[in-house]
Amino acid sequence: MAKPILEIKDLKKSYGSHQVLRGVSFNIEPGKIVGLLGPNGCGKTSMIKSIVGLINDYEGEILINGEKPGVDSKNAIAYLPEKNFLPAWMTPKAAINYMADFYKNFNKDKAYEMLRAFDLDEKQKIKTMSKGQQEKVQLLLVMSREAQLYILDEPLGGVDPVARDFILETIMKNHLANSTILLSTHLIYDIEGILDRVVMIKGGVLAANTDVETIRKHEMTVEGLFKEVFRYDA
Amino acid sequence: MMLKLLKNDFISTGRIMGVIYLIVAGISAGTLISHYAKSDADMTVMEAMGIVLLLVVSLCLFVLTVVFVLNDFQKTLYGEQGYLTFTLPVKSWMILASKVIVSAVWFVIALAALLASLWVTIVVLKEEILGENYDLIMGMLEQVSTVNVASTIFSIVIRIILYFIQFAFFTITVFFTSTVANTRHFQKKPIFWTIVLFVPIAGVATKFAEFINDKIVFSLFFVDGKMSLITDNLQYARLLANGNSPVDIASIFVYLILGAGIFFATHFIMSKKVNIR
Repeated sequence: MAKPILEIKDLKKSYGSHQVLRGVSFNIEPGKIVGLLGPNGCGKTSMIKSIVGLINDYEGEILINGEKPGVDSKNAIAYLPEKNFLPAWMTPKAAINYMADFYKNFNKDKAYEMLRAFDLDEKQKIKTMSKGQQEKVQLLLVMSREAQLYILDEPLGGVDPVARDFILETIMKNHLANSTILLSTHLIYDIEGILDRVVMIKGGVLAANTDVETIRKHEMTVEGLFKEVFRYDA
Repeated sequence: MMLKLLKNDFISTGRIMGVIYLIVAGISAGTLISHYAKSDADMTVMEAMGIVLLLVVSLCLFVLTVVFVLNDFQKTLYGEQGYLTFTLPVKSWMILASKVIVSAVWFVIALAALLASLWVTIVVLKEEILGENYDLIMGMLEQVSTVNVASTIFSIVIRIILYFIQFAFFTITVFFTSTVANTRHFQKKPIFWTIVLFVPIAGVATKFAEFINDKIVFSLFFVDGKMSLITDNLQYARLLANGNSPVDIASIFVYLILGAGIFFATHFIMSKKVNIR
């Protein structure tokens, strides 16, 4: 078995007296596309923020390539948050230069190629773009990284079905062949076809961690399993 | 990586701060051109407006710089842009250090712009208002600059460095209070808490620096083109009485030590206690 790219051991995180993660443990092997599934508020985003180094006051252990989150792991991870992280004054061109400045694995040619494919103006300011255009810029910045691990937090949230297909196509087309994708979403139907594995979080604990192939062997779908796991939450 | 952070922080802040300083330079140039181009000694409307505008803008520069520096810090670290900033492959103390350095540089430039606008004011108002005092001021400036050019430049460089340290201290104190204001207990009103927390912390630090400065005589004087380090109370009083201006090193050490402490405290809270919204 290959050495895991991501190891999470007994991860706990609280906000004051409210415990969001209650001891989650799982590993992710390289080259897999993993769905991090669960309803809103189950702790998905807190877990992702801990992995990418935005949250540091957690209990337990997170290892990326066998090391704690730090400069090396930030180089290895390409992260797409739910939020619009680009400054309003920036243009796509400035954003591409910014990313190329900091990430050695940022492929500028690929970024410009995607910029053209997305029909975006490299000199248009982010603040004058539509929400959809802003999301495209963010997506191209993340997918232009030749990263080992892509972490995408709700990339399909708040967009129409056509845009969802476009986003998924972009992700699948542009990630490196041997890289890993951790994709957080609650829109399971759209991603079911691309997943190798699913990790389900319920009330801050691990509710399922299984291969999609195994689910299918039991004549189930990921959506079916999701409904079964979360049926009392509906 | 530090240089890249500095470069990008200057690009980001320079869009607004650069424009403000261009406005100051433009008003100064316009006022001076109008002054030298006129045929009689009377002050023109253009000059008068230029002087008033210049002084107002220059005095506002510090307030604008504080507001801008605080807003940039809040937005790029603890707002949505924090998702970009904190996932960069750099040590988090570098992010903080870059912000402090860039902000302190803007404050030094604000001070230089204020002094430059005062110089323009003196030049324009020489006959109209300053009268004999103008000759006195210009005479003093001439005396200072002709005694020893190298010494004058050295004195200016030393003063710029010391002002930079003081501004860096001020900046890190603002960043510290802003960081505390973004922890769970205060984060509903971060700007309000930044101001409320800043006043006592900066007040205590300034009083402490003044106290140390009063107790320990350790100052630089630039007299007759020479720099002297004065550690004796009597000598200090004599030079002061002769109209010499000291550079108080003792308080600078206090600012440096306190600033370093506040920097590490800010970094700790930033790394461990702040959750970006």
